Amino acid sequence: MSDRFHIDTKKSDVLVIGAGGAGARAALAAAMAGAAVTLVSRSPLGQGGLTPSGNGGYHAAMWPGDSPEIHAEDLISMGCYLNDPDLVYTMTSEAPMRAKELAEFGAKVNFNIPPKPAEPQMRFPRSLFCPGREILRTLNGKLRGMSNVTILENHLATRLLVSKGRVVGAVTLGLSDGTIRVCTAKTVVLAAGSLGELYPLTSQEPMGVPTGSTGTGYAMAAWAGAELVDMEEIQFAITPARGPNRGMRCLPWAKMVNAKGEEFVTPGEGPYSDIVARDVWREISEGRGPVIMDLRGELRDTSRKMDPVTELRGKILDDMEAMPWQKPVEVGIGSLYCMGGVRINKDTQTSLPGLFAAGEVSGNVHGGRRVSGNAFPEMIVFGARAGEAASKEALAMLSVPEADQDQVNSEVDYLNTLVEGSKTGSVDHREIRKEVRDIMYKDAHMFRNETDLTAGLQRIDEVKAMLPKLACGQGLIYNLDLVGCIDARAMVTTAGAVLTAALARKESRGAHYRTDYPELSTEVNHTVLRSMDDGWDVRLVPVSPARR
Amino acid sequence: MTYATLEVFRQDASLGIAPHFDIFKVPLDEKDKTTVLEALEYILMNLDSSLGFRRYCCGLQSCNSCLMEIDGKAAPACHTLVEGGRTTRVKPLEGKVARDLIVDK
Ligand SMILES: Cc1cc2nc3c(=O)[nH]c(=O)nc-3n(C[C@H](O)[C@H](O)[C@H](O)COP(=O)(O)OP(=O)(O)OC[C@H]3O[C@@H](n4cnc5c(N)ncnc54)[C@H](O)[C@@H]3O)c2cc1C
Ligand code: FES
Repeated sequence: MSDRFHIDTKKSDVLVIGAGGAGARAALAAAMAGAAVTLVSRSPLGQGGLTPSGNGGYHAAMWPGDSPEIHAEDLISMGCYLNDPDLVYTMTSEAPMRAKELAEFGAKVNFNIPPKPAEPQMRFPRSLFCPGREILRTLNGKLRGMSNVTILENHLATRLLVSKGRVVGAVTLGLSDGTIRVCTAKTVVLAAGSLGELYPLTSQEPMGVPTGSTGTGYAMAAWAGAELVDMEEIQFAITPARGPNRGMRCLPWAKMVNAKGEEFVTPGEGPYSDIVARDVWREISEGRGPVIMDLRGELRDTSRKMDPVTELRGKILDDMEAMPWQKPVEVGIGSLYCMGGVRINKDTQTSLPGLFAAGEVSGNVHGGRRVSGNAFPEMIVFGARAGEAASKEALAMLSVPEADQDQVNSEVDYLNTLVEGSKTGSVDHREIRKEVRDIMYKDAHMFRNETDLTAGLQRIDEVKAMLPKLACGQGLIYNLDLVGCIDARAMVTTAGAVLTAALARKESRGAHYRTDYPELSTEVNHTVLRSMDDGWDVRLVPVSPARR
Repeated sequence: MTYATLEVFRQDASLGIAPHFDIFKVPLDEKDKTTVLEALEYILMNLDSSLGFRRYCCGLQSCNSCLMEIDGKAAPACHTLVEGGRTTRVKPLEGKVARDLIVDK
């Protein structure tokens, strides 16, 4: 019989789950307001998640003649009017101030905006620049020096705790010390990042290795009863399909040919155009692939200068002779960003009392399309607002609510059974991961239709039925097999949410393209999902009218 | 199909596993080279799910998450190549080994 996990408890005013840009900024805001903060991260601080690979584009309306209103209008029109205008205006209004604040904290932010707008549809240039790793270095440096902040690195949150209709904390699994911690708090900020790993090819796996973007945040929110919004809106992008630079973002204006050597890309599109990505996916999915990208010749310099990360990666990868500017490479379509997510208002409150959400895990800022350089302001603006709102509410409460002991026990038992069941269980999490990714690739990729989505949902149900038989190898310390099981459970839920929302949106809007409903519908609705015992409750909710 | 050979350091005091090396053969697509980090990911996902290494990465040689001793030198696994027909030896950096290639500060 193997060991069981140690159990410990941790009480705080504010519990922050996830330490990417959004979580770190939230933790800092809450700590600066005087709250006792616990920050939980599945990876070591500053590593893991998407922020460390974020290039650094941070859009803010600071060019002469530009304004937060114009910035917001641009984003809403690019988002196909699916954005929540309240969230967009909040973000564009605060983006300049929050960037200056980052600089005051010590981050090297480049305020010299290059004069050309990042995409042709943007009316003004807006690209401030501060790489994700610089943002994290700055925020983490401050957090490490604060006595009211407890940092739990290598801690995976596995489930939110709900008591009397309020979120009162989370169960976390300490990978480094084999300890399950029952973390209770007056308020909880969910900042657990994205879900790119639901797809077999994704820019959320730089260099082909995961970032932990398995969608645990969406799943935990759903299990707790929080609403998810517009989960069908997932942005895809062109990326090398294999080799060490798999997942690296590519530049669609490069020359691309199909198997017959024909060029097929719609001319005149911007660098991050999803129309071009769709062109590529059409060739691949209709059997005219492989699609080969060739960046040799005069394109080489333009594309390398596109962004500093490509440049950085390029230098290193040049040595590996694996770059499209050294030899033609096969490209595919990978997931890049999730526009949908946990439904929030401008104070980052979710539909559940006690639960706040910020960063990529939250939904509705970008509507049907995220414009490049606008995820960083989202993460910083709403990260800060989440920390402020969560600490304000927490500091007005007298005591930390108690967790529901039955719920705690059931999660602790679940985790113990996984490691103890290694001899009896028969399902390997890797089978589930593979199956989920295959479903998402076949049935919920760039082109969707009712038949595929229905088939995908049926397959998800079959996978769900396998979950109770999950088992993993032994060990309480850094047991990646166990982590895989926990991720698998979340992936099944999150994939189910995407498929369900995609089936409910019977139109093509933004990134969501239905071959059976190729037109925009005249009414603009959000898909709003709530997890029920027997599936999802799906509602279509009209988008609130734009301000002014 | 060519194969890269990896000699990977293994140890887990909590499970009574004494230090030793395990040998894995990772298939390489002829056209592609593979990084040490990707090779470890391949081992984890296909050959041995009990392997411990720091898996979440930036892939940019900037987070230091993947630093390990590769053929005797500290190097980022995300930017070091394995090659067909050659053996690469990977060990954790100096420190207290938590599991296999993971050292805790
Ligand atoms: C290659 C690439 C380049 C990009 N470049 C840009 C850019 O230039 N400009 C821009 O605006 N946007 C960019 N983006 C998007 C942007 O990087 C992300 O949207 C943003 O970093 C998300 O921040 P976050 O804090 O919400 O999530 P993340 O940075 O993903 O952080 C999530 C955190 O949660 C932790 N976590 C997850 N689940 C759990 C759990 N269950 N328990 C405990 N911890 C957990 C993770 O370890 C991580 O610390 C880019 C994205 C990619 C993939
Ligand atoms: S993964 Fe970040 S340095 Fe290698």
